[in-house]
Amino acid sequence: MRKIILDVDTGSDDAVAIMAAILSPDIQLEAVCSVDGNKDIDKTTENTLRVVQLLGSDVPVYRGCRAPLVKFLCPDRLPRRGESKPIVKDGKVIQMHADYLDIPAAEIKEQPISAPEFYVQYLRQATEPVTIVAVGPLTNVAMALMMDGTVMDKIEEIVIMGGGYNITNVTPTAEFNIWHDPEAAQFIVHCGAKVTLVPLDATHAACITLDDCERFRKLGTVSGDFAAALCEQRIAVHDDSQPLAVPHAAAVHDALCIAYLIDPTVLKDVREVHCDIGFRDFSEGQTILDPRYYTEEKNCRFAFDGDRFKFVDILCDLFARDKKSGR
Amino acid sequence: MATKVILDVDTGSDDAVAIMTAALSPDIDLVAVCTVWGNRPIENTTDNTLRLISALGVDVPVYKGCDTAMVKYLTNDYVENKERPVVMYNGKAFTMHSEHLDLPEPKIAPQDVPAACFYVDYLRHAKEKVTLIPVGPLTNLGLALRIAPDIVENIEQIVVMGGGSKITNCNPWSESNIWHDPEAAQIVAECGAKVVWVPLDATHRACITMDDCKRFREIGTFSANFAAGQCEQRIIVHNAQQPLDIPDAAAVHDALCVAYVIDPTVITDLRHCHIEIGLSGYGEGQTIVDQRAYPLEKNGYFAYDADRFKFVDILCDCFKRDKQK
Amino acid sequence: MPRLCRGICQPAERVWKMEPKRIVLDVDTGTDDAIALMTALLAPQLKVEAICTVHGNTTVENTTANTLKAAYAVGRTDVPVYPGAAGPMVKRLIPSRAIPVPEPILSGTAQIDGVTVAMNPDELPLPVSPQQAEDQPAAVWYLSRLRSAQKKATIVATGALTNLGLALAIDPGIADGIEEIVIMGGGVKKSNITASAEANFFKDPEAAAIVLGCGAPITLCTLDATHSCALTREHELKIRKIGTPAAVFTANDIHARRESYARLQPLERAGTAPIHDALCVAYLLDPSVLTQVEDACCTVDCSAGISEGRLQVDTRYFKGKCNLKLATQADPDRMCDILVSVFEKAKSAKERGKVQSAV
Repeated sequence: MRKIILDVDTGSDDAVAIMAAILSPDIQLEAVCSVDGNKDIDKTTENTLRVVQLLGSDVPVYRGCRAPLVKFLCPDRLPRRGESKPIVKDGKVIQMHADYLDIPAAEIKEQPISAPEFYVQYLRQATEPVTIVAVGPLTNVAMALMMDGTVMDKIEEIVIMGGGYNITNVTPTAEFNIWHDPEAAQFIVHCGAKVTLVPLDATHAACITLDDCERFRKLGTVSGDFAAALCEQRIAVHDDSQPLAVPHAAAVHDALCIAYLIDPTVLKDVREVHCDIGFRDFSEGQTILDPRYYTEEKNCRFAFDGDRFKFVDILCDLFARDKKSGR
Repeated sequence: MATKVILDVDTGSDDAVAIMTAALSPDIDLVAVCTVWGNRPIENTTDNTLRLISALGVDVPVYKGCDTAMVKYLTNDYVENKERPVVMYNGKAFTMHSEHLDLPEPKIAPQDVPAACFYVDYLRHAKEKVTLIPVGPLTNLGLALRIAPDIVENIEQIVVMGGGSKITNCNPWSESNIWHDPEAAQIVAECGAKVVWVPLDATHRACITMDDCKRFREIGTFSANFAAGQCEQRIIVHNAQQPLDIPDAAAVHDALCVAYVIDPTVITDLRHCHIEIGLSGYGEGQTIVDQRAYPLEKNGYFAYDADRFKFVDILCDCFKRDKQK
Repeated sequence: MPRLCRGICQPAERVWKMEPKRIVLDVDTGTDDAIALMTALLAPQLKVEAICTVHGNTTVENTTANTLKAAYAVGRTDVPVYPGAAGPMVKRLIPSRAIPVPEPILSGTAQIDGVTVAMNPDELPLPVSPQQAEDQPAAVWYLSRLRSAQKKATIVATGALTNLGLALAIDPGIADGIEEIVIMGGGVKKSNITASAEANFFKDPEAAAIVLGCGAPITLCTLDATHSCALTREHELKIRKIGTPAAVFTANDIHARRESYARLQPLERAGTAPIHDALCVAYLLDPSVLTQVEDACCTVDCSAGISEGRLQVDTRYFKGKCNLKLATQADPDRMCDILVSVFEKAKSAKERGKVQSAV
């Protein structure tokens, strides 16, 4: 059993990741931390609680940082993304991430301490190594490791959904999670822990199709149904604004990190690289890999490809284990 | 009819090959050569350019250009470039670009007017459109475009040697020419003229091998022999520091831009893209190509591949025309 | 001529016979630029060799047209006007550096005799000049002028410093051909366009940094200096009484500025307004108008963000090498007297000329 802490900005694909982590027999989910990212911290925390509650899990949820470390201090770095046009389908507005997940409001409560405090306390007391799976901006993790560097040896691996080499989304150079808090990301990739980046190159390859959604539904469980709905929503948005190589498919980025923990071979073409993060201007949030023969010191692992068939099989196995049956 | 061309060089071993090719090609009417800082300080790059033009015995005016980047060094907010060590080979020291080209002292002097002013004056009064081939940092052109943005009207195209999408040489994200003056490069990228970027992705594909150097030497002219010498020097350094896919080969970047103007099919994968230049921190001097499904407005052409056999043939054709033995 | 009279006349005569100082104006006209320009053109102690224009208060097309108008308003169509840069050297390359600026700060209007007078209109309310601007861009002209072995030039720069920045980037050696650069720009304790920056520096911080570091002697008339010599209603009336076009234009601008400043950025002394750019010319006519000037080591912040375009003054005990004279205070009465003196003398000279031609 691999102990993990999941750090999320729930988020549609985060929800799939949380369910997968809760249901996996290979994973012992110690805690889920929320962070500012896809949505503001109130929404990502509430959404996280909703997913945990939906599966009847007792995993503790910690509220994390409400803004990136330093980015918003500089007026020239405030986000200036153009508003994306809403997609209307069957009279419903569809977004990559809805403000609130379409499941019952949370009655369970978040823990009384913040996510960075939890990380420090947990890691100080840990007797076994733990893996941190961060699928949102890296603010909480960077904050915690800045507060206490002595806990580094308790970290088995940091698995990050973030970055992109041949593929980007939020700007010509950047993927959202890294772009949202570039300083935190730079701190983490250079922190000395074993860092595995699961970038868009891998997550776009390991896409989920409408047919896969059918498979999820046929499982007849709550998690299978909800995952299918979330993936369909993502497919609608992908089809509209960033069509993938496989038609009618969507990247479900965050869940791929959980699948990797269950079966590392779901990531393909994982290379040791030297990676830096751009901070300013056009390169802000870019994962810059050194392509030179005389490369600088390698500091992390970067997945260039993913196996979509294996990925779906893993998810199906997990959702089938859900004891709560669907509609 | 021959294409009117202005070269902008920081001579430079590969710049030397580019100058000779342009000066000798029947398809190119070389209007002027501007110099710029870059591979070496401006005094060296100008002196080297003058030496080469003298040795070639052609009548082309040389305009001395800028000695540093437009604004980069005003702040300490730039990443230091690590010098690559000298390569020792057969007891001799080799660098990619020698301080002085191994040629006699120049017989000609540079013109009085600075290069940037020449661009403004010449392009404003040009009767036909001119192709610009800047193969060093883009400082001269960047300044000229800021002084007189209207000069783009008389620019046929700008064929830039610079940048790299999947290959870099200066640091993890940038190629030297662009890194040396990123702001100037971005001014060129968004100036509105047709800009063709010939980056490392293309120039490393169009490499020159030791066998090619032999072919040059068999031609027996001054330019062929001199080019062979420059290429051999580059191969030694490439082998030691950045070996290419093909063994015993070197990229001769700058000459590929000239070859492209002579025969565009030497570039085999030219894509219309949105290109912008990183301006600070990690990413400074990076040529950013927007690869998203929903890219920003396309503003340039980026060369991803080139035909090395055609490239060598073009060079040989030009060197054969040289009257100097 | 009686000996006594000659003795008395001598100092004045010496002034008049001294060769006028050769100056170049670099302006983004602009009402206060226009006042600086008219004063310089009318003062016999100065010979305006050329006027360069630049983007700033408005587009370079407008500032060029306004410059020609302002020169024509004082009867001059013979001074070459070189159109300059349309935008900053590099600043606009970065979208995030276009920090929005609160507009009203720079655009106020007032009513004078029922006519609306704007503080910074795009087009100056003056007759169109028959003179055409030159073809040569300002930066190219600077290079040819300053590289040649002519006499050194004094440059009065009252807009963004782009033209000089470009010219110095092409050839830093031209600094040797400069006698002095008198700049309106920056602020030590004062700013206007952002919390930290004055407009001329903010509009092209890189150019400003290049110019301040070029090695030529520089006198910097900061916002602190121009605000400290803001002119009053009494000054306005004194100038208006002269009645010449230049005097009326100046009085009108003082009026418009007094009202606008009272409304938009009230100064310590109520009802006053700074005529920033004119202070530079006043200084050339009488250096004592600047009452607090110190040697300082200064540069301009070129980073994106909250301190972009800020004048950085090294205040440490072990400060860097001083590169300019930093003016932070000036005398408003003296400034008014200088303007009055120039306008009066021009008026009487003109009247003398009329009498002579009548004779």
